[in-house]
Amino acid sequence: MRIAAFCALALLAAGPGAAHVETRSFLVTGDEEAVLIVTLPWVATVDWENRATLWTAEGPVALTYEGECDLGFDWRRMEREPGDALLPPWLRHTAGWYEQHGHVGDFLCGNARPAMISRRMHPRRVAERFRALVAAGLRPEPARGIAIASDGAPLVDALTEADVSGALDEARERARAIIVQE
Amino acid sequence: MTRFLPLFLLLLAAPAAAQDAEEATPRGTYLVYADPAGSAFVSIEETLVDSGVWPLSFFYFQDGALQGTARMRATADCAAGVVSGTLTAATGPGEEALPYLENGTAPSFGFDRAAGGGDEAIVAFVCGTRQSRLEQAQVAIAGTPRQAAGAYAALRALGIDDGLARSLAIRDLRTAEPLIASAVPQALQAQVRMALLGL
Repeated sequence: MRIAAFCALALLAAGPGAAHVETRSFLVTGDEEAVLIVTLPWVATVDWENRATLWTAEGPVALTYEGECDLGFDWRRMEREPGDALLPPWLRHTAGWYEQHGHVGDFLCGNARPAMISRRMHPRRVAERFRALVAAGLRPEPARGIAIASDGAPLVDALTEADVSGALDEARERARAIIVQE
Repeated sequence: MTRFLPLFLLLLAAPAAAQDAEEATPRGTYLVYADPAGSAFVSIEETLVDSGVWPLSFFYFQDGALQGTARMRATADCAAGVVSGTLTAATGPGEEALPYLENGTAPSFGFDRAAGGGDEAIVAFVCGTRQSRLEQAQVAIAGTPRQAAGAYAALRALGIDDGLARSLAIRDLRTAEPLIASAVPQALQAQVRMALLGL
């Protein structure tokens, strides 16, 4: 019996390591305190557990989430202790289509421009950079793109008044210092 | 004459098409033009696209050696086929910052579709659709613009043709490997891998 080449290669690849799922991580949103990074499999898989990480100044917090695009998503800390109350307010429940649609729902339901984190960059570094950029006066949306960029300098140069909460020149200088110091 | 009609219609439709496409082009930095003398990159970032601002990065080479870099903040007049950029940074051969202000003012540059070459490529990308942008630039670069520009120059110096050099330069070594194994002559493969590592 002949086996199609692609299937044969898949069979060869199966084995002790076959349970490993290739993933990619996305910087979804955040603020000065915490940054949400969601991890998704490259290829849809039925037994995938919804996973995410909330990066704070104290380090990573593993999260899981349940819900659907119509009604929104509920988020839980995986270890359950010391409690869900420690999640930032914007993450305890994220809105779905029937509610005011939020940034996280836009990401999970496929409407937002995704910010995929390169394999070359550690999520911790991306999260720290994002928090620092927001603290420097950038609004979350340009900060998201600059935080994941391998070279954020052209993006910082191009920032406009609408992208910052204070003085544009000062925000640019602070942002340059953040991306250069690495 | 008739062969130019589709192009004429495309030019008429360009502003609307560009507006629609900006919703969907994946964020990232794209290699939009390259030749042995230099390469040009355009970055797509959601809020900047909404503001009509396009970050541009340029790298200039001579005999495979970096001669300088420039960054600009640009806006587009797609109906006129022109992208206008204001210089925001410039460096020399040693990547030292160069003074670029003239009487306190940053110099401006115009990229005209009609000029061909790199000018045309920049206008085509900025004023393009998602589909045309991805056909032109394939995918957002994996590393930094500096790395991609250096890799492209090194690959061309090795004799790799333009299309393959671009495809390899924008990828990381892992995703470039199948292309190296299948498209690069055996005798050059090790040198190509070194070039992609910046060595």
